[in-house]
Amino acid sequence: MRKLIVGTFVSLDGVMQGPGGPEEDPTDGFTHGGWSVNYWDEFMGRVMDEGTSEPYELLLGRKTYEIFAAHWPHVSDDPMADKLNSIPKHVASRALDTVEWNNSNLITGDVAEYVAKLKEEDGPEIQVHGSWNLIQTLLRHELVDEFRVWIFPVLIGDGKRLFGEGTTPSGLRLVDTKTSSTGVVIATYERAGDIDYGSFALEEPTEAEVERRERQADG
Amino acid sequence: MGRIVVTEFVSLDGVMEAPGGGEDFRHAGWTFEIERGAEGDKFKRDETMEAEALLLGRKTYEGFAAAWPGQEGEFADKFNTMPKYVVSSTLDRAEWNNSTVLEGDVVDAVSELKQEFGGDIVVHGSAQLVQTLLEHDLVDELRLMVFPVVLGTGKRLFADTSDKKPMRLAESKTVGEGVTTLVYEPTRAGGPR
Repeated sequence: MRKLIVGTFVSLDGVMQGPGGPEEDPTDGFTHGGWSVNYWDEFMGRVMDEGTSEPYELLLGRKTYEIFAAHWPHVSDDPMADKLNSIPKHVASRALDTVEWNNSNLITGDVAEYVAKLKEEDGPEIQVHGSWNLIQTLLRHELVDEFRVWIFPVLIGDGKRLFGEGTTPSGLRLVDTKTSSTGVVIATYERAGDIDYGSFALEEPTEAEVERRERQADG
Repeated sequence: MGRIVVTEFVSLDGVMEAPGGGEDFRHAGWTFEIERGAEGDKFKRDETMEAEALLLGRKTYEGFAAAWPGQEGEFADKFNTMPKYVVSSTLDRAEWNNSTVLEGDVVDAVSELKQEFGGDIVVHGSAQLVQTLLEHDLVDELRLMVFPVVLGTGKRLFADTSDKKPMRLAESKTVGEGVTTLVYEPTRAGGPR
């Protein structure tokens, strides 16, 4: 069984759209593209390098695939480009007929089934970069084993949010946190099964509390 | 000049609804089984003991007003005695000891409160109120306790704002069983550069 890891840049309010530039994803009138760029520091570069130094395969949605495929094959003499160009890439898309980028495989049929099967095969870990739409499918089907969330100190106010409606509830285990010099919190969470519920409420609610609950139930 | 200090329990996906249970929400009580440890207790204790007043939305006020008067101890004494301000257009009076209903425009009323006090005016829960305060740049400090859980549904702390709001991360710590305490100060202009 291999791990599926989602690594995402998010604003404090959970927006993951267009972190790298205004042209990246201006869909739905999004005008804040490029919000992550000015927070970059050397430390974050090192963390990024560490996270991609081990062998991995990429799982991408169509839009992120198209951005990558238009960029990386044209970059030479760069270790990052060499790696991305050579490793296996799995692409979820109903719109594409073919994928031209070296070592890419177009997922035909059900994405959740494909990914579940992929995870059972032998091989290195699977990383998802960008790919908001695909992540929503993975969240619905509980296929993500690890989240690497880079929380930038800014509220964006609109745009695509990492955990959209339809996310399946899940307990998590915080395995690591780091903080950059620019206030970016890099938190790594592993899935930890179901949620434990409890209540701080008094065992015998007060009269006022009973009234409040009734009012709330009435809307 | 008082400071508006917003303090919240949130899930990793930004849900703030019913963290301590007692409400009609599928995941009510979701913070309960996650230990926040001695440092997490201190985080909450410090902000409570340093508070000069509470500022609450109607729903959070009602939850507090139903719970705290029946309780004893350091937290309960502080909550029950300090001045409390409730933002509500439907509430006529607030019966919890030392509570006042704020009337009229929220932004004006809160700006006046900031003039009136010299210390921390603390906001708990109250998502709708917090969204208004953030939109109008009235928040001076945002304190989050991020619990390691994704709820997938429920009221979220952050809603749409008309523009982006840069913050400075003033403090971050991991406490208890993977709870992160994050303290942000809105910077109101520009990014880090």
